[in-house]
Amino acid sequence: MNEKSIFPILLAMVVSIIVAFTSFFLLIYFVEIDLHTQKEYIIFDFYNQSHDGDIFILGSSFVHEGIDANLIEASLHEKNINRSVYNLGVSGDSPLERLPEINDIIASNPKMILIGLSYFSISDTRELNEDRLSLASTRTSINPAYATFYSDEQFKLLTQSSVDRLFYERKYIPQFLYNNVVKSGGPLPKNNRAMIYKMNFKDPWIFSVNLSDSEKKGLLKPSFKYEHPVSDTSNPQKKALIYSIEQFKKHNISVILINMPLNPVYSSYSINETKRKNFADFLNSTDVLWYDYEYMYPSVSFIDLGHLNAAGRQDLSRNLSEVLFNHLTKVE
Amino acid sequence: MRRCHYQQAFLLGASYVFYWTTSNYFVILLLFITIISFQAGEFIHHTSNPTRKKIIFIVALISLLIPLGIFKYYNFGLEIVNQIPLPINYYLNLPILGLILPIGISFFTFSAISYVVDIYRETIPPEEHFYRYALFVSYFPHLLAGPIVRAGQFLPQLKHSISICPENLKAGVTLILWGFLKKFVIADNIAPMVNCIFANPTNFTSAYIIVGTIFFGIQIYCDFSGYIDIALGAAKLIGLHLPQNFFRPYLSKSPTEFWRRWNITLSSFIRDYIYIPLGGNRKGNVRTYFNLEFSMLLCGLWHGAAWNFVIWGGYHGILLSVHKILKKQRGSLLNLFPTLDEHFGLFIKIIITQYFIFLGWIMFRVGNISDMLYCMKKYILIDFNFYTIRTGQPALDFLMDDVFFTWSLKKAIVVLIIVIIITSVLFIRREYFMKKGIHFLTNDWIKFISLLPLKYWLVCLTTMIFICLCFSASSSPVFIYYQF
Repeated sequence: MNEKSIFPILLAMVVSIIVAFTSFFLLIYFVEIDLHTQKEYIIFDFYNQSHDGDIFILGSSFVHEGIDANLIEASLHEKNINRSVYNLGVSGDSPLERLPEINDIIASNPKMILIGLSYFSISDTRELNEDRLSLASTRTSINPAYATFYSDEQFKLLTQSSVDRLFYERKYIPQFLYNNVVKSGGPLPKNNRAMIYKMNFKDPWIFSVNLSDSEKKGLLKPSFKYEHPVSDTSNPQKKALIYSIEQFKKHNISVILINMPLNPVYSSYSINETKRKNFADFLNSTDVLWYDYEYMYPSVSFIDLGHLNAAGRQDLSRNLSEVLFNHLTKVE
Repeated sequence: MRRCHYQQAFLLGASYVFYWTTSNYFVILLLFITIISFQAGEFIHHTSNPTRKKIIFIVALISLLIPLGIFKYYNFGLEIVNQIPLPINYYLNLPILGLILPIGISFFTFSAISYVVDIYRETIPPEEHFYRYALFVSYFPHLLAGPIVRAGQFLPQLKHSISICPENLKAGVTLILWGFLKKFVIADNIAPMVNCIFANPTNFTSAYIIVGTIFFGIQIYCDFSGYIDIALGAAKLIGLHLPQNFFRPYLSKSPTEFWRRWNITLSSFIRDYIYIPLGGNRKGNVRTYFNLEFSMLLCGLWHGAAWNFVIWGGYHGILLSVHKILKKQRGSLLNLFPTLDEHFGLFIKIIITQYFIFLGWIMFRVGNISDMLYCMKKYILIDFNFYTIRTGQPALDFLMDDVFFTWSLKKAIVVLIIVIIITSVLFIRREYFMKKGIHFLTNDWIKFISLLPLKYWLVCLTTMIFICLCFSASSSPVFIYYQF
């Protein structure tokens, strides 16, 4: 073995490994800044504060865009109910994605929780946002009992170590480079750029533009007919929702479910009777009061196929404040 | 010499430990194959009686093929037998065994068979030392997914002691990292998109099926050739040379050339041990086409005990036969298309060949026959439906929506065609460019990088590691060829 002559090569290998890893970690650190501004990340800071007697509204972007917590809070205040109302809607939310937050929600001690649901929330084919599971692993400790709700891969993400998480974050690099180098769109990923506008957990998302009726119809795709199937059998999303409700009830937190409004253009195209019946049957089986707003608003109340616009948001928020008032007066 | 023995004994032990960690008790099977083939080689060599020699040879072949048959083809064969009385509404229901396929069984069995056949043909002498032969069969870099190494290529290298020299170390490390890039950065990032499309292909339009097919072609090439590069690099570190298995297969201008560039060690094995003994092209046209078809059917079956592999093999047999027929009509074809032999003709030949090769990948990838037919229909008869289908696969949604459909399909196609033309021009005229001093077009640019001065090599190495760290996929499926 020619040890002398291979030494410079071995040295070069060691140097290149050190340089490559250092550069990688620097890049990751730089990219990671974006993640700290996302709602699903800083929501844990919100839970860390005490929210004795407050009202939380959970759900997806339908909730985030469709409910005005300020308006509900003001309406309740007018009726002498002084409670803070928070809109904790996160884009693409589902019961399984919210499950890691349950203990933190309970620890912050709210009085009541409204959960806005739609077909995709409990769909049999719903795929989870891996990023959200991975983010949760950095912010909260995961109850080992949750393993039964997730696949092995998903649970691994929820319980990953900080080193695993560091390597996991490399998946953001291509999008980061795409946004900064190709599109020069600033440091935040395209879809989340407007999310940090004001994170007081009360203001709704008001950045979307109203589409015309023909534009809304233009969004319909053949595949929508088969999207988000809801069968009459159990699935992990349904189990997670039932489990969450049980936990809230156990800690004296009232729960109300809301079947969120859908644009009739979309629902007449995509929702059939069986799907609707299965969905309603499941909500009935939760043993929790639920309100059906699915068909309540015309197409003009929507920005697109599912998100309410300013007028629709105002209507729904007023309706919800009535629901909350009735419920709170009964409870208190 | 003693040092040489120790080195090889160490490598042998390491290889067996390696196989034990991946395959547990199947290490006994590896030992069985090794002993049978080694002893058969000895007996064949020392037997002067031709009949006895033949009997020993046949017995050895059967003994070597039995484990492969049981583990790989037993259930498949039984399923066929079970279905024979189906026309009279009866299912035989013979019990299917819950067998796990030992990793690399096809590769080490074929290496062992090549040793026995070569001794029978008297092209190589038998190896004197069992441990050295055992190292040839079990040498860890090629054990799990090839290349299929022949005794004549490998055993002579074991006559000398192992030494690590700077050139081999640089070349080996470069090759390993290049393999990592292919596997972890390219193949593993493409895999989820391919899986998403082919899990339920009937949900998708032609645009998706074509993209899925092209991506699968890239995935399987980068996955398999990535493994081979890692294997070759690992062997090269200690100065051992394994045969190359790929040489730019997607630049082949005929199916025949494709099989000289794709899985070279398997195709040459099939050529030397099946096609030529069957008579090759020496027994007339009909027999040649039969030999081609039969050899390729076996090649397909080698990949896996499933009908789609058989169809894929048969399809390639037809492609090779058609190419042979067209080759014979070359004169009349040249009269019809005079540009066929020029650079543009070369480009067209590559495109046509690859169109059919990629059509074959649909058969390889899609196991369900009705799904396969649907995909083939969508690939051949394009439906011109260019709308985005939400797949839940972010990269695929981004690619199809933002790049192809929103960004405009026409622009994407123009860019793709420009890229193909530039690549083809660089490839076809590479000698011209190399004369002008543009050396990166060299046929062996891994060698080119390895021969760079140390400081430039360090930069290349750092860049490759950095790219691997940044862009490797979050989950890495096992190498595709592990299952074969």
